[in-house]
Amino acid sequence: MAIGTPVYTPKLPYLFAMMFALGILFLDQKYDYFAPIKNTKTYLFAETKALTNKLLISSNNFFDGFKSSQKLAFEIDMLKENIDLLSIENNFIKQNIDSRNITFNGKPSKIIEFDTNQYFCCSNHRLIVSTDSNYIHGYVINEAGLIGQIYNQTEKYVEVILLSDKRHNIPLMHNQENLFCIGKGMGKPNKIQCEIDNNLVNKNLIGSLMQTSGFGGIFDRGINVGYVIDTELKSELLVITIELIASPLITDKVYILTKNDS
Amino acid sequence: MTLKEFLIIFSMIIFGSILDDLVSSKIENFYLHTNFAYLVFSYWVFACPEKIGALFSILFGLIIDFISGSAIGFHAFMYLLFAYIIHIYAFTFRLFSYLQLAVFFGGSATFITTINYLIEHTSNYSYANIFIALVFHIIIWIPFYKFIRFARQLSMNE
Repeated sequence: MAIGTPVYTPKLPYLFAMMFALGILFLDQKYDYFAPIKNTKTYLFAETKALTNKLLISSNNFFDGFKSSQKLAFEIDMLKENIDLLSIENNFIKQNIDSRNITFNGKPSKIIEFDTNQYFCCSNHRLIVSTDSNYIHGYVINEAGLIGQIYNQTEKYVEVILLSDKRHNIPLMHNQENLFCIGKGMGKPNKIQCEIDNNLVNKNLIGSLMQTSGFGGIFDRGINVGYVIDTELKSELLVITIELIASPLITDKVYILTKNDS
Repeated sequence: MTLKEFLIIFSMIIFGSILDDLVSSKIENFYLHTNFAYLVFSYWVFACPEKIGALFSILFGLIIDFISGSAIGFHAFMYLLFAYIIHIYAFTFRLFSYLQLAVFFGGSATFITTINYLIEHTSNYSYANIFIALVFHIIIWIPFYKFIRFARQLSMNE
């Protein structure tokens, strides 16, 4: 095919198309107008991934049918061993979570989609977990502690907004002093920031433990969130940077909890 | 544009988007943000400007917006803008050396990444990341161009 070049490029179609694209961009940024489309995409991607996994497992099972009984007996032994190991791991996780001030009554779940590129480069820190239950509110922990909160649910897929997401806010308190603030995601991995009236601060906060205050109605009170690693004075406000205790990268096993009202 | 041509260009842009997911990565404290999807798109506008006009530019841009999870309309606008620039300078580009083309296409790919950071991820904006992306795109452009051209010739039976 010979490479042809246009003799004349009309400006108007480009101009109209650019104005249309800018209009769409404005609607998306200002009013989040296309959220349903984005949710559909999340659901479609998760469903495709689940379907692919199912197909892989089914094909493996099909070929397993041809195995000899000796091999199957060996595999049963291996599976038994794995169940024991999982049980030990589960107990360890429960103990670990208990030690982090979280009343454990959560449902186990699994991360099925986590865009780590977005997590490292950008400010959208979201992941998708699968579940059998319906949630309106709830928070998500892993074995290290609190990682995020339920943002949206489509069928059996829950979108989790991580604490470090730029759009996430969490009510926090100092574990000893009478200090309260709203922790805001910085869009950077494992870091959030909050602002406190400097007149209320009597001591150096670096190294202090910050916990959930429970005032937002989502999180239980007293869950360990992170340690203060930096403070910066901006006029009357002290901006504190908190390094989160729990990283979402350490495991794909998570637990969904709802606020304990008792 | 025929359906076959559309499908070939579409699948190559999707391939570029998948490559972006695979290659983009954190290197120590820096982040390499690649834009292969745009490099594929701009190659096609450069190679066959008569095939990709305003309609297909906005369509491919919206598809990338949908897949990449960026703000809807962002890539659509950027793809339109650069499709237009490539269209009006189509003859001039024929006179450019590979190095000049690499600087233009690598630079425009990095420009899109930079504007994306400024609009959506202001807190993650960093000169170091932008510089790394620029160097990467300029270096990768020539081999990537050869590869896409080979794929085009193969798929179009030229």
